[in-house]
Amino acid sequence: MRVPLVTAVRGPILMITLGLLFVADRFDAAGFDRTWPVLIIVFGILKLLERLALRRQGLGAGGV
Amino acid sequence: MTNGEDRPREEAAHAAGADSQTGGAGGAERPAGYCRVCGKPLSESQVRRRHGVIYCEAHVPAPAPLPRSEWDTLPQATAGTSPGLAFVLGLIPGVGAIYNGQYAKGLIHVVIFGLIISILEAGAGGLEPLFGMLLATWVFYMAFEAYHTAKRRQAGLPVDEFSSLIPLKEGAGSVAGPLVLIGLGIFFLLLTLDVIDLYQVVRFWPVLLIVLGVWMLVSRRQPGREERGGAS
Amino acid sequence: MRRGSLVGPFVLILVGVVLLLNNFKPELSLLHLFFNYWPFLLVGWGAVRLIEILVSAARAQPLPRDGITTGEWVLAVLLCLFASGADFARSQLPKARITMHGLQLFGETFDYPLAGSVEAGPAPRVFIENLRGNVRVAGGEGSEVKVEGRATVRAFAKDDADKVNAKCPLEVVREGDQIIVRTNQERAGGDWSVSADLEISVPKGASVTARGRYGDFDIANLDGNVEIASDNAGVRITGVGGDARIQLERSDIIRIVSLKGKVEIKGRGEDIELEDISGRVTVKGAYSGGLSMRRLAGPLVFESRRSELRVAGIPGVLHLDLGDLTAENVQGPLYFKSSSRDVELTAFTGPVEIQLERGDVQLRPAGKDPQIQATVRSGDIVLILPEGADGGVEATTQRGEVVNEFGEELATEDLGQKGARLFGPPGKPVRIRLSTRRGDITVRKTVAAPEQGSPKRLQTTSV
Repeated sequence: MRVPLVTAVRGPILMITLGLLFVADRFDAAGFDRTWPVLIIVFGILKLLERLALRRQGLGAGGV
Repeated sequence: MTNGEDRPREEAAHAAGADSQTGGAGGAERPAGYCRVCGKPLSESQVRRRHGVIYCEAHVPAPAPLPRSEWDTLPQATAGTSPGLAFVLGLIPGVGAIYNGQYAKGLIHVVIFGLIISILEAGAGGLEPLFGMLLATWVFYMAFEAYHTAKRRQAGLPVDEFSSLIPLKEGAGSVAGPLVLIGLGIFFLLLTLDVIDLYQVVRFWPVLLIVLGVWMLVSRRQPGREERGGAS
Repeated sequence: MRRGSLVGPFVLILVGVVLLLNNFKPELSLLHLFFNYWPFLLVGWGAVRLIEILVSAARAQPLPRDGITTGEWVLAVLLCLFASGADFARSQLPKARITMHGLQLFGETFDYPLAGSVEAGPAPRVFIENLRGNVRVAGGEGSEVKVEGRATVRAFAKDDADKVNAKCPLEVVREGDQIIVRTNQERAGGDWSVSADLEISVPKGASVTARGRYGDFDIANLDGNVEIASDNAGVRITGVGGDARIQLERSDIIRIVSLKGKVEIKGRGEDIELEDISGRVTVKGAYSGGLSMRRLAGPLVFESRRSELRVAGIPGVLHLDLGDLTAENVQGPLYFKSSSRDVELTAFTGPVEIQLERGDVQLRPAGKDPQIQATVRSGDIVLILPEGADGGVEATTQRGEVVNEFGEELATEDLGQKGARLFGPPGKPVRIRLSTRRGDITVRKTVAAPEQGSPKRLQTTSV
């Protein structure tokens, strides 16, 4: 299985998001205790793109 | 000379064998038996018997293991892996995973445990009972997960860092999972940014049941790749 | 073989070098830089890794499945916890000695005495700047401003401590009609841990303005005004003739007793205790403990994210905390709006308006002419009226019961799907309106002997 770009890039993108959330927290724009769900959203989007990319590669599997 | 050729082949072989092997049976004495593997003639004292078959000292197979009795416990495939111990250690946040060698997972377990406690400490907006039960559930989840991971390791199955009791399959497949995740994230974000109020929303919880039912209906009416549209 | 990224180990080395250098040369403020800009480290880490992967993709090389390996995530999470924990710890640790601002976890503390004084007039304006440390100000006889105290420097060696202390002299000077008391701790530079505790005596007529970052303020016995601004302080003020203005990012306690002017409190904190205040009190912010007010002559205005409270006067006592508003002997007009709290008001006069999303309400007005409007989305309302109260009652609940324990002057009506209603006496203008969407409404009579008889026993004849 060729690793799609989305999968490889998932880690760094999450890390950048985490960093930006903490920047916002550090400079009192929006506290991390309020912004943390953004991480879940970004993770979900990346996972979604990954599923779509793998579909295009022609693989199928069940599972949540 | 034709004399040698007339001797029966066996005797010639034995003679040849007796000559070429050291410690053979000797010349005039009649051997008590011949080794099944190498054919060496053996005196009575050199005979080794297994299951009614004669072998020489060099070729006798090891004694067969005694038939296992029900009272014996199975030996551990991986030494030092005790699922029972894993369960007990798993009750302590993180320690279960560490016992199984999954250090990153242990850290995550600890962080989640801490988060639940922090939420309880900060008053959970009146939902203390929910988070209290979540805490108890999480503690047992950690313990059971450690137990099952230890069992897999014991059976020699490979276990990766983030093995989990919840199956998270890679690969394509339904986009439902990620969509649920995104939806959940947006929901929490709206909550934490005070766009919606928890009390307003909590009233709608039966919608989840409805959605679940609809999803089950839809997925049953469509024949899947592996399923055939069978009985509902 | 998987080629790992270089970034992870690089971050680890960087953090180690920064911390090491900080132990030797704190004046470089490396730690300060680190604690201010650490999230950018995460962003940079992710960005570099992202570029590495994009480059791999462009070169058609096989891509890793783990953009960030497990070990790297562990490091990143630990970094987040450590850095944001340090921020958190900075404000939560006891203020006495340890300050996490400079990560001076080791070393010794060296103390240096401080003293200074200057002639002032009878009513000077005293300006105090002490970044870290506790300050006590007392008004007294005499006309000079006198400062005594102790500076504390944390260092590995006495020489270093001496040098730092020399950079931060105590200044007690007069500039016009202002007296300036300054400990100059910012001159230490970098992340040196310097703090100073001061005892200052001032002429009784003085006004005091104090600025700090970390440390308590204790002010007593002044005729003038008090103004305090700090990032993290506990404040105690007693016996002040003028106004008090307090602005704190964080505090554990603000306690003001016996003040003749106005009080204005802004910011965030835990508890506020006010007693015997003659002027208007305004509190704006978020206080996670509670407000405790006693004998406030003037109006109280309280505004937070969750609620709003206005009271004309508090001759008695009022408590407001995360779950309840309780008050006894308060003067209306009183207006309270909140999301989720229980309310119990006893012996109040004047008009009262209460709006709650959730909460139980119990009202026991004093006086003969209560004016009440209580609207609750979810919660019970109990009204305890004195016998012979003027004014009519109109109470409705959409889901719940109405209970009339008051007497025959009031009547109940069942509205079927729409709930129930309690009202009366007929002919009287309605002065009390109670409404809840989910909950019971009970109206009771106050009787002289509390535990007596069944609700409908008394024949009321009053007007």
